[in-house]
Formats: sequence, structure tokens, C-alpha cells
Amino acid sequence: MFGEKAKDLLLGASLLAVGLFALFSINTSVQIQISSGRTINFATMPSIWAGLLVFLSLLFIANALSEILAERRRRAEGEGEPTSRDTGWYTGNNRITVIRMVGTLVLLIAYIFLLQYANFAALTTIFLFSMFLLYGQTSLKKNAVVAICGGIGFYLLFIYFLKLPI
Amino acid sequence: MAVEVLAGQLQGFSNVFEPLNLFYLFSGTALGILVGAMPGLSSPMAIIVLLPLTYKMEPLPALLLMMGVYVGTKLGGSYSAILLRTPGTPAAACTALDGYPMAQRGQAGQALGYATMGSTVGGVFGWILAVTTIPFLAAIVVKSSNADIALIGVLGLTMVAAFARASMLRGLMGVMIGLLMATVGLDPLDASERFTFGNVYLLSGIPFTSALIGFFGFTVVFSDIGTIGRDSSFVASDVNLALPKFKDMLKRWQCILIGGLWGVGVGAIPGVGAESATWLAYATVRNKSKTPEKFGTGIPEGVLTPEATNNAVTGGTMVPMLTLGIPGDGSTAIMLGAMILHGIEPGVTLMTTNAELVNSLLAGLLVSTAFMFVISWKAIKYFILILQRDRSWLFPFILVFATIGAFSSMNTLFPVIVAISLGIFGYILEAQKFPVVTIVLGIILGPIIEENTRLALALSANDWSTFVDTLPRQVMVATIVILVAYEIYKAVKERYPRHALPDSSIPSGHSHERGETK
Repeated sequence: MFGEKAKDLLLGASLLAVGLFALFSINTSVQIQISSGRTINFATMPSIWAGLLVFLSLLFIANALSEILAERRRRAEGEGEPTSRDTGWYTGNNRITVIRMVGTLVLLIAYIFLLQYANFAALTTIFLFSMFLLYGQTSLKKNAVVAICGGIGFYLLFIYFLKLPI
Repeated sequence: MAVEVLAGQLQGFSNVFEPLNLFYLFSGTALGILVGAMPGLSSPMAIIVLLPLTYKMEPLPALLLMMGVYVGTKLGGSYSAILLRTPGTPAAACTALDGYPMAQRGQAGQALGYATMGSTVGGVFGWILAVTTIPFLAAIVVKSSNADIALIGVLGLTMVAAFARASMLRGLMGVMIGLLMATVGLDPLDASERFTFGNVYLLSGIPFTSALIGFFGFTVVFSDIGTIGRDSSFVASDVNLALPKFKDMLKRWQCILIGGLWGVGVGAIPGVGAESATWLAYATVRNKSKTPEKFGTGIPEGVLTPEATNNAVTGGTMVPMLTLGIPGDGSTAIMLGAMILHGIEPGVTLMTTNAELVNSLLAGLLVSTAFMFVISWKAIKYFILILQRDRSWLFPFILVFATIGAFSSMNTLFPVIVAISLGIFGYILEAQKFPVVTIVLGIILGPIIEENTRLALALSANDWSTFVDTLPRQVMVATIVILVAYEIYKAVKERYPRHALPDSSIPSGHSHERGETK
């Protein structure tokens, strides 16, 4: 769907936006300004870093644009296949990978939010079991055994020995 | 000075040989070999996973545990390189060139033996150079002023950006992102809020642990999800380690010396890492060899050299880390972060304020190398068994470790959310070849650079020429300018290559072979 250079362009534009945003929003809260009299103050270094990020992002975007234009010129002149082609991110193995990544994020987010309400050992066991299934382990019995051992192991390690307040 | 160095090291060894410290060092080394052996897992990730376990530990045992992992991964990477032709760590890629052909010929045991001996001797070499260099360098840099320290930080980041595996432009952008992230929170000198947007959690800045766990934990897992379930074909799964004889090692002394020198030299340069050092050493030994055509076909020199280099790097990276507070690679970046978390301030004064810790870490480096040898010699079969396990079992456990690690840093969900967000951000950046290690180094060095720059300017009445007042500062500024200018030159040269002009003095159709007249 997107070539590598197009992705570079998108990323460069995003980082440019971050840099510009940082330049103009260093301090948005109301407070007493102590250091306004000095040449260098709390905003100087962040402004320098943000300014450099903006400059470098523009260079990066220009680089990506020129490579995209060069590639279009090459294709127009019939000089062969594009050098940066998207590999079809939603086909075959890529689809499985995308599903696993999204699934990992969903399970992780659910895990961390439920940590406040559910028992740590039980929740960790369920999380591990779900992750094993997501990653292609189909033997339910094996998954359950490993997940239960993992849940108990983590409980002993973090709660019993390290006494973390989870 | 020599007597002080010796006395310091003796004190260091006596600290390391306390039973609990020895246990952590041994455990860390074993874990490191295991992690290093598994393709897709890395030393930074293993150290990050251990981070929550170290919160309640004293600084020295915590750092020794991490040191053990760091040293162990260097050898572990060669196991999968030799048996699978898939290096466990990027630095072991070179080992696969000769290690795998040796294994295919039924010499897997010998290949692993040379890898073990090479790593051990290289590690000792790195330790010797670190112990002899660090006290002298520390004595020089402790006299640095604020301007010097600020410039050292900027030079370190520039070198990391220049030598990171991607283009310098991407490296510098990563550095800027890290530097910006480091400014979030209360300004250290004025207590003004920066980038907090009224969020009380951001007053103390982006949680440092979250950044480490996000970039070195979650990013790696997200990046490697695609490798789950891939078949790995072992060339030999039942292997006995065959250590080379002393005379066989002695015959190949040049490999060890060249590997050791490249390892320590390159390891001491921030950001370059062991990968480059191993290839440079391999190329040097091959070029000096009387039979260069044999390299790549499966000869012991091709295994010994990169493995000696690999472990010598661990000594090299200790030099900037312990004298300047500049990490040599991702693993040492996390170790520096762990120091900060345990209330130790890394930097030019570390040797003065915490000489015992520095000496103990150096002693730990040598002892860990010895453990690495013993573990490999006696227990390699078990590591190979585990190597055959699929990562689908491992990754969920890593995710739990990372999540709890982030949670327990502040006992709220906020650092976990930050860690996962940074993990996704790091994944997107890595996919577009941005080296995320530059971001982490920017986060670590940002506060040091800013504080010292502002103090230097305050002391010089806001005169920026203070940064070029002395010869060392001029050299550092010149180095920064040269590095950036060279990268610009390289980029322009690649974009606009000079085409070869036709040689008009030679008519077409005539040969250019030597001896033939025109």
C-alpha cells in the first residue's frame, strides 16, 4: 500500500509536526517566570532541540521526496521495477503478524487496566494463556499448564519475594 | 598510580567474591548466554527484564547481575550462529561465516570450542585494557569544567549518531527526539514546567524506566512477533564442546591480538558497537593471512577472531561509561540508567565519588568472563536444548516482566502506558531504520548537557565563546564539525556520484593489460 519512501515521508512529516509543536508549546501552564531576565533560560535548550528537529525533519522530507520523484522518473522512463516497493502488508504471513501485533496490544492494555481490579496471579495466568493461543500454540492443555505455572511463578517472584505493591 | 590501581582492583575482587554478589554474577552470566543464543533476543532486552528485580537490591549486586548478562550474551550469540547460521546477536553474524561451515562438516564442537576460548581470552584482554586505562583517563577528566562536560556529551551523541547503523540524519533525529523527551518536566535550575500540559504525572518528566522498557523491551517484542513460529533447522543438535589445545590457540595468537585491539578500540567509541568491531577485525586478519581464500569456508581463525573481538568490546565500552558517563552501546546505556535509579550519579566524578563501585564492576567483568567459560564448558548441551524452543512461549513472559517492571517504578499505570506508547513509537521508528538507541542516549545525556551548558554560560557571563576557549574544547568542537561535514559529504557523493570520464588517450578496442604497448 505504501512504498518505503512514502512511509519515510509520512514519518518525516510527523516528526516535523512534533518539532513545531514542541517549539511553540514549551510552557503552557500559568506560573511565575523566574528567569526571564537571563539570556538562557528554561526554554532555551528545548527550543534549540526542537529547532534542530524541525531542520533535520525538513532535510529528511526533502530527501524522501527527491527519492520518490527519482523513482517516478525511472518508472516513467521504463528503467525497471521500483526500488522501494511495499511488500503487501496485509497478505499471507504479514496478515498473521499484524493480527498478532494488534492482539498483543489489546491483551496488554486489557491486562494493565484489569491489574487494578483482579487478582494478580489469576489475571497473569489468563493473560499468558491468551498470549500462547494468539502466538499459535494450539494445545490447550499445554498452554494451561505453562500459564498456571507462570502465573504462580510471577506471583511468588513479585508479590511474595519482592513484595511489590501490585 | 599503579599501586592504587592494584589496591583498587583487590578491593573490587573482595566485594565481588561475597557469596550473594557471586550468585548474581553467575546467574546473570548464565541468563546472558541463554538470551544471546536466542535469535531476536538481545542483551538490552534481558537487562531490561531484570530491572524490576533490582529495585530492592543494593547497587553493586544489581549492576553485577546486569554485567553478567552483558558478558554472557557475547558468547551466547555464537551458539545459534554456528548451529543455525542465524546469529543470536548482530555481533555474532561474522562468526556464522566460518562457524556454520565447520558445523556442517561435523566440527560443531570444535567451532563452539574456539568460540568459547576466543570469547574468554578476548574478555580478559578487554579487562586488562579497561583496568589500565580507566584510572588514568578518570584522573584527567575529573578536572573538566562545565563547558568540557557539556561538549563531551554533545560529542558523544554526535558519535553515536554518526556510527549508528543507519544514516547520520536518522541518528541525529533520534538524538533530538531523546533530548526533547529529556526536557519534559520541571526545569532543574528554574523549576519551570516544560511540556507538562497540566499533567501532574509529567512534573517529574517522562519516567526513565518507561523509556528503557519501552524502547528495549516492547519495541523488540513488537518487531520480532513476525519471527514467531519460524522453523529453525539445526545442523547438529547433539553437540559436545571440544576446547582447542593450548598450542592450537598459540598458533593463532594474531587473531586474538587483532581481535582484542579492535574490540577495545571500537568498544570505547560510543554508539559503534560490537558488530562493526567484529567485521573490522575479521577483515584485518583475513587480509594479513597467507591463505585469505580459506576464510568463509570454515576455519578456526574465522571463529576465533570475531569472538575475541566481541568480548573485548565489553572492556572497551566500560571506558566511556565509567569515566565520562557516556554509554558505549544499548546495554551500557541501561546500566547507566540503573545506576541513576539506584542513586549513583554517573559521569566524570564517578571514579572519585564511587571508586569502590567502579573497581568492583571491573572485577565483575573478569569474574563474569571466567563464569562464561565454565558454564559453556560444562553446560552447553542444556543451552542448545533451550535454543530449540519456540519464541511463542518466551515472548508472553517477557511482556509480563516488562509490564510489571514499568508498573513498579511508580506503582501506577502511568509508566506502563508510557512504556507501551514508547514501545509502539520505537517499533515504527525501527521499521523505518531509525536506531532507537540514539533516543535513549539523548534521554540520558540531555540533562547532563543542559545543566552543564547553562552553568558554563552562567560562569562566563553568557559568553558562548567559552566553548572554544581551550585546546581540548576546540578539538572536541572540531571533531563534531568534521563528523557532521563528512556525513554531509558522503550523502552528497552518494546522491551525485561523479561519472567516470572516457579515457580519450586510449583508442577503443585496445587492451589495458600490463606489458602491452599502445
